[in-house]
Amino acid sequence: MLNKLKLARVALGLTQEDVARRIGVSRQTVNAMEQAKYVPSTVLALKAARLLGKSVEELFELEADD
Amino acid sequence: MNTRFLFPHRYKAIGWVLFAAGAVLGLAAWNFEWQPAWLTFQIPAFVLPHPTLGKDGVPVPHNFLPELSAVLCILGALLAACSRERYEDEFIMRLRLDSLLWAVYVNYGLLILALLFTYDFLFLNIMVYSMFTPLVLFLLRFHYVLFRSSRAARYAE
Repeated sequence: MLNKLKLARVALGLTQEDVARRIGVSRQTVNAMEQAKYVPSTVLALKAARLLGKSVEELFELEADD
Repeated sequence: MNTRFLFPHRYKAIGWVLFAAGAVLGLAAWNFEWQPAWLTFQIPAFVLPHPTLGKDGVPVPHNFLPELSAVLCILGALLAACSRERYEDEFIMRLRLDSLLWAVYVNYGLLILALLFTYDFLFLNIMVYSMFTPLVLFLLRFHYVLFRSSRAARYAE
């Protein structure tokens, strides 16, 4: 799964630590999500989308082999 | 993975201390045959029907250092492995589950190799160590992936 988390985060001038603290996860989780090494749960995806002011569909995108 | 089965974070350090104590005592008992007098007890013959424990119904003293060290190792490793991380979120839970599965696969793979290629006392020694290897393998793998992910987070921005 592809994501645009980093772009959306940087556009708002937030650090990974900021995002992690605001959505209640560790910074490692935010980094893993941005690196597409971890696909978040629905709840976490919705929290991230709400924080970054985007919809879940704008942030996450299915790949061809998903 | 439901965190209600995990101990609070503060038990992790206690677990490591217990495990280290058990490992040191166990190595002392296993390799140097150290048998402190204060751990030698008499137990009734019917409790453990073993040739060296109880003779004609008369209790025989047994040194419980190996048993104590094994219990300390198991309890300590369980506490260290099953205590929450400071930040226990869904990603950490996924790492925990993956590490547990990896430890099970590797442990039984090694066990199969031991069954096929080791015999007599070497096999017995390996069976003794195999009481602890699932937890030890899990701890090694889990902390390795945690370290790798925190290092990746440190260098990314």
